[in-house]
Amino acid sequence: MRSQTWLRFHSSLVYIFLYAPILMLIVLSFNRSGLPTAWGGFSLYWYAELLQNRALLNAALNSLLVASGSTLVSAAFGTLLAMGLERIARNLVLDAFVFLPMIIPDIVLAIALLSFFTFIEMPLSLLTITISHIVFNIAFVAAIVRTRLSYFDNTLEEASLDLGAPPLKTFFKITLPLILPGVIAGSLLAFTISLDEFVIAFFTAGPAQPTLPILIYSMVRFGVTPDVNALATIVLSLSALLILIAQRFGGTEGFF
Amino acid sequence: MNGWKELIRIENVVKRFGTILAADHISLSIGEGEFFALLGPSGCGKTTLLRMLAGFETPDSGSILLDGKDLTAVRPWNRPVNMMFQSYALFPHMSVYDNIAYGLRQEGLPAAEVDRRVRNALELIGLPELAKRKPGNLSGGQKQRVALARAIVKQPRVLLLDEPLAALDRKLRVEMRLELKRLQNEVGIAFVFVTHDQEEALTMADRAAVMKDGKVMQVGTPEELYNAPANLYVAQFIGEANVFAGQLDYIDSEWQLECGEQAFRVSAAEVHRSGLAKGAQAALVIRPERIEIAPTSDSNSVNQRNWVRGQILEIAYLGTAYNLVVQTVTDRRLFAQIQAADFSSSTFRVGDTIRISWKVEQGILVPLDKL
Ligand SMILES: Nc1ncnc2c1ncn2[C@@H]1O[C@H](COP(=O)(O)OP(=O)(O)O)[C@@H](O)[C@H]1O
Ligand SMILES: [Mg+2]
Repeated sequence: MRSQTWLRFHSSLVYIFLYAPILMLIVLSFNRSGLPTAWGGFSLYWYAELLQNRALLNAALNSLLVASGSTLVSAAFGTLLAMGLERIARNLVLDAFVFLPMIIPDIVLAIALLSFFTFIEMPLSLLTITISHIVFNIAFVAAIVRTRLSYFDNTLEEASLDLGAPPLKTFFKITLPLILPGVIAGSLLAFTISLDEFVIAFFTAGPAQPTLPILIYSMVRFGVTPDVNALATIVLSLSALLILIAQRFGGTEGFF
Repeated sequence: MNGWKELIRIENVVKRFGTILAADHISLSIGEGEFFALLGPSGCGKTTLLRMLAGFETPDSGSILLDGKDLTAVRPWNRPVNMMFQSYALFPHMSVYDNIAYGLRQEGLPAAEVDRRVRNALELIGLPELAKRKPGNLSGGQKQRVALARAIVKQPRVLLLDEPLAALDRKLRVEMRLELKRLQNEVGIAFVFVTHDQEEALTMADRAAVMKDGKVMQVGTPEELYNAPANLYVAQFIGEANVFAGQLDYIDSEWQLECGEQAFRVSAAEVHRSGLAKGAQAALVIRPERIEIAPTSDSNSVNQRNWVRGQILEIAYLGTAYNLVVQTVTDRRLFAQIQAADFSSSTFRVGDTIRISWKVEQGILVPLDKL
């Protein structure tokens, strides 16, 4: 009993430590005064203000574009990759290489990608960020789809072939619907990661089109306006929502 | 076998998985509308052979012909063959109706035709009210029927069934034997079904192939396999067998099997059937129900009979018959099954010494396998 009380106390502290700053940010976004030190009453003023901030909204749009584009491509290729790994390769070394982009330090990946784009003389733009995000997002999607595939009963595909559906049709009618929860969970995860990714985006972004994290970072240096709090709260809510949905679809065990 | 017409011909098929020979020069013919069993212990290559018929495995050598045409290059989705999987493999995200309709839709049939045939199939398996259910909400027996309907509805030339009854409980399994047989009669499609249960094979099959280590040991009707096994393996796999091993001899114009302690007479017909010659190593197989017992005091003629003396170790009452375990003087255990009407439990008790005998022509002679 005593050790349980202890444990409860301990985990409360951890939660407070983890979430107090975020909670503070949310509260501040509704603070009319805009100052962290003085409460000016509850208001949606900064949210209204945010709607006037062209640069911030543009950056948000850029982030959404990058996240959507990289997610769509990663969903398709990550799924195919997972199937290849599960069905054909089954090779530990190959596995390790595929999942490397997930654990490689962002800064290393960022430098590598930048050198690569410079080498092939590709001008930096939203496209280069998107491509860079695809690199690690494919790994995330593949990892999650793969857990789902390991539960998949291969005789279902054989039954479909046997009943007269050629392989491609079998994939779309049988395999894909059954691993779809994994694909969706993987895509949502990829989307959230891409949405707030900073280091790699910073290195591979063109000068005129910053993503949201990049813009906020540059704003911080010249002083943040309180409408950033509002934006952060919106992004946070969106991310939390997506992750909740992803968890509902399952297949994300071991990632959160 | 009136009007038997060849449908499938398997010629010298060999299939290796690494060092394992899953099919070792298999040759078989299966007839149109025939109920054919592949019978053998687990791991003997039954599923592999079935999967080669379905097109999921390719023979390393040899060929498989259907209606005289080589199937080797025909992909699974183009073969007029359907399979019922051991795990049933029902599509979990589709209703019973859509599962059954799946194969028909692949053929591009008009919706009305699909609907008519699916409803017929549901009728045939007696589950028309379950059309909207998902497979997850079906009992084992219902799943089995749906899997069957899904394969049959395509009206294939051959239906392959991999241990179709193995997942059911015993009572349902026995019921489904009759049901499968009825269905097969009704649809007239050739069934090739895999089982490790000899009783199942004997009660359902028109003919069966007994397999061992990737080889076909014998092909025949249940009666042939039981009464005229080609080798000791088949004799022991099909039904119970009392086995005496020895050397075949011909003395005083009579065939005998010298078993060391004793010699048993063997009918000339059996010697002829087995193709064995004088001096061959052979085994005499006696089915338990062919054995008769008598008290040793009984002085009735034992002409035309082989007999041994032994002591009753166990008596088990089975309702219609008694099963006896008898130990002979040479320490051999014999099994006898005596019809209840012929058995008096007051005359025979555990521990009694009795004489057990069988008619000479009921001894089955088989070559002694090199095991
Ligand atoms: N895909 C495979 N890879 C390797 N070995 C296999 C494969 N399929 C079957 N085998 C082996 O071939 C032999 C026959 O298997 P199988 O046809 O499944 O036997 P049965 O159905 O009679 O139990 C077994 O030894 C099995 O382990
Ligand atoms: Mg098997």
